[in-house]
Amino acid sequence: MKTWNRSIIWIIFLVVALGQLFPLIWLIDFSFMKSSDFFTSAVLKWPSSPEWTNYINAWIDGKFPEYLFNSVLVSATTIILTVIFSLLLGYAFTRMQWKLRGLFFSIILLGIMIPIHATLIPNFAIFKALHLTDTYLGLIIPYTAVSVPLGTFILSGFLRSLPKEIEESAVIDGCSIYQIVFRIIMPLTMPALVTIAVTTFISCWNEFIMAATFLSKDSLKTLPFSVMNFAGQYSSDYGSQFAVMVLTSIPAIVIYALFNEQITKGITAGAVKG
Amino acid sequence: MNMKITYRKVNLITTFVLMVGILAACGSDNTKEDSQSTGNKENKSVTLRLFSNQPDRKSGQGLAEQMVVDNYMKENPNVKIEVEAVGDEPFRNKQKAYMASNEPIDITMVHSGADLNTLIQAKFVTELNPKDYEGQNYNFFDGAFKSFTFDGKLYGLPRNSDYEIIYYNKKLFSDNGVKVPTTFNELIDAAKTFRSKDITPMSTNGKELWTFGLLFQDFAQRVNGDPNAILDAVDQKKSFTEDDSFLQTAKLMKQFMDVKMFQDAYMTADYGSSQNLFTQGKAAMWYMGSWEAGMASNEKLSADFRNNLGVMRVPLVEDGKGKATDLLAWNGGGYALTTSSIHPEEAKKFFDYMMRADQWAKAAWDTGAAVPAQKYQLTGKESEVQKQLTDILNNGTSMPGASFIDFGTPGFKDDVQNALGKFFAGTATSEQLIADFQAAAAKQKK
Amino acid sequence: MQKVLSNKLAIFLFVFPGILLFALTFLAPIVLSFYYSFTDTLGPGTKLTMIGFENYKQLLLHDSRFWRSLLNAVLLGLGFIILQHPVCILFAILLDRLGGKAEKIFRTIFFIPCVISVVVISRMWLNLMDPSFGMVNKLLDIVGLSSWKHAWLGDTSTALISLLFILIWSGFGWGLLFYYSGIKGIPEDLYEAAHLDGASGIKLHWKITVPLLSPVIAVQVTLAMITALKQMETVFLTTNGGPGDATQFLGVYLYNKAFSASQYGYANAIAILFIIVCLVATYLSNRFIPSENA
Repeated sequence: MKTWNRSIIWIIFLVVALGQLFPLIWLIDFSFMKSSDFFTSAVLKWPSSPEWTNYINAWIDGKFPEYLFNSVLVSATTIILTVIFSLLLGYAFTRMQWKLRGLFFSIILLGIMIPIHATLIPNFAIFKALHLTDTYLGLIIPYTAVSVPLGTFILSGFLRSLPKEIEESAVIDGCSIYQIVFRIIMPLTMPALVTIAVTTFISCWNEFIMAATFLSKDSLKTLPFSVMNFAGQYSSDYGSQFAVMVLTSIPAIVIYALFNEQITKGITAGAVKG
Repeated sequence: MNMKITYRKVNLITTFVLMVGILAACGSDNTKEDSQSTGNKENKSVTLRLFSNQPDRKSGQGLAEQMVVDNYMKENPNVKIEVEAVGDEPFRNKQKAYMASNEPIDITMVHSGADLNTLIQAKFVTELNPKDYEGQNYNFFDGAFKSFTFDGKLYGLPRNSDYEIIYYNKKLFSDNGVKVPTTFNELIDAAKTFRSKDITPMSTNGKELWTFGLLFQDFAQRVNGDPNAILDAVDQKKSFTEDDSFLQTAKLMKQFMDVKMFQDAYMTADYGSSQNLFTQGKAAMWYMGSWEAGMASNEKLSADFRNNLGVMRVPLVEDGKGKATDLLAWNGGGYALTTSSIHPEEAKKFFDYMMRADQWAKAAWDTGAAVPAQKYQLTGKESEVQKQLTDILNNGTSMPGASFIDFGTPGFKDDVQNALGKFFAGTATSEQLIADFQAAAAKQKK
Repeated sequence: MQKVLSNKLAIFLFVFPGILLFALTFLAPIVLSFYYSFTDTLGPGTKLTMIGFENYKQLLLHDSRFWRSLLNAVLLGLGFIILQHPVCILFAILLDRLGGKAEKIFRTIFFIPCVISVVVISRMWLNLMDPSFGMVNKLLDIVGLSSWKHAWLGDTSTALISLLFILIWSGFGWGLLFYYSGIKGIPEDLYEAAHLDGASGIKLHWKITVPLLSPVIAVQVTLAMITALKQMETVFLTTNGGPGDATQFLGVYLYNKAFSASQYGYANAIAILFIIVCLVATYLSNRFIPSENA
């Protein structure tokens, strides 16, 4: 009975896993095809001579290295800022004592619900007036602002579950508030901070509407936007379009593979405590 | 020890946060200084910004545009021209954002009609003097400024003569024994034959909806024989619902859907994918504009396709009042100068150079990218497609000079496109389509 | 302790940068939007007439596209809640029981689509669902369901469900991971105790796992509703709201009204209503879903 059950679970899992991966395999497979081979009747077909030119087009005309650099720079800065802001805000909202904290906490949490698309256009005008469009900061600031509410939410939940005794003894030892936050709280909340870092990474690495609206200099553009732009430039060359899509996906998958364990641990810890 | 290290960490982080703040402040100061200093040194070196909807710089109109830019930079080493080129849909959106924020671009591509009208109302584009563009250097066709002129003032110059034709694949027609249609019923029969052989009769870009607008206008003109009727209806000099020819046209469109004229996924097909279906030989026809003349000489496309590319006039409608030579022609795309330009004089110099008959018009024609809106010299090296296109234009009759969806406000265009979307998705009847047109026209006149 | 925790300067330093950032990217634009929503402007810089509540009146009373967008969001949200989340919970329970290396591998695979850019996902699925060369229809041919072949995203009757499918495909891993980690947090001895009482299988999980997961479920359901309302990128990149408004959503509608139709004042009125709807939806789902966490 038990083994029978187990095999059914295995079969279901294999089918779903295949369903999750197959589209990506298809994408990779077809990225090696000539556009004229796209209309084949085979589901998957390994071309007799893979079209490496697709990847050359994607790498050079798609300006992959430059866009990758921009994506890394913008994402890394956004992640660092989001983690710091979430930590500071989360701590101030859960532990520190001040009059308006309930009000401000609700205001920050509104950020989770407010659709960024609703504020996109006036945002552009405001950033323009502050000379922030067409700079890296022009992306980093809104990305951070969008990520901080969820980060604060995750961290406050986590903090509430932490006992206060550690901080109390730290105060008796003569630690200042800044030492408490960065020396004691930061290491303790590491699992939640990792979760915040990961969710922030995924959302800002893949964001494109703001990138498309706020940037015009080619030298600043990020990867998702390049996919769009490339689709316009090579509109009739599906193979090269697919190649640029594959290239864009690789860094995120690699990063995920590297941090897989921490991500799961972080979310598990966050969910259990929060 | 431990304590010290972490304390330093704290300091590092706070310094970092502070630095970001300072950088932000510096950033904004710098750009200000930059723009001022370049403003003063106009004679030394100037950077102009050209905003274009042609991201492909290696073929078609993008190539022609780049050739002119390169020519100018060669002749004027002190001028650097930065081209920002994005695909047409993102281009339209980004242009609105630039308009809203007075982005200092110098020369911009513009879509005539509704889009240009908005830019004018936002005072984003500069008024031009039509006298500057008379004579031998420019040689614009008569009436080419129509869609660029508002309240008697000119705000941009057209880059092409745009007119709709049907590109077709000669091989698919002859292999399947289909006669090239000259009438509506023959077109319907051709579609049936192709469908029975599992070939898509006609490819279209339904996601973007404007092609449906042109298709409707084209056939309306063939039904009622009057190119101005639909424009008058937009202006509400007559009503869409009272002139029966519009309803008749809608019923013709319904027939297209009944015989599955278009590819299966036509409602999600964008420009690129509809073109691809045709250039890969999967669709027999493509209803599109003269600006695609460059397909015949585009090396990226297979030789087999290029050799079999043909052009036909849009078929006549049996017992319609239109003539075979009637042409849905207008001037859609063009260029304009912006009011936000930092170097308005240098920008105008380049603009005047670019629009010369021996620059843009020649480059566009020589590369086979488009049919210019200016008189152009035949080189003798024209492709068969180019010759046919020239012929169609030279013999064209009853040209409306405007596309009806662009003839009103942008709000009107949006309403009409939405109505077309519902109709071609099969959720609205012919009667509803015409009623929606009428409502949209009445709304914008209010 | 008290003194340290009410250090005014520290509170200011902790809170101010975050609030400033928030004010800059959320509050200031909303105030501007609010102002523009009472005008008929084509865009900043053009002629501007105050027209009072005209835009709102038009939207609420005469704009069927606005209501269609809302309806689509509700349908999509229900789709998430009815289809995606139960499956996620089921898979989380099964995954937890699998154990060992396989558990880890499957968890990794299920999450991979989540890290892929929405631009890639949208373009990929647009191609996968293309009737002329997409994989979906070819697979149907192979399994003998040729009659099901279809222009999935291009047909008004299947566009929304196809969109839901794409979103479930790409969001499955997130939901799974959250429920999975919730289950990992349930102490083993609770199950043992229930076992001794004679509960097993589905009954066991219905009695123990699901109630204990309820805080996670509450948060996830709220997030699902918000995700559905905020849906924008995937739609924008696949159907652009079509065919014939079948997949119209507030974000797309507003973007097109502001940019393509140059009805900037009107678009801002949509934006304000959009925000209000999101806030009300959150409030309602918090209100009606019992959560021990609240």
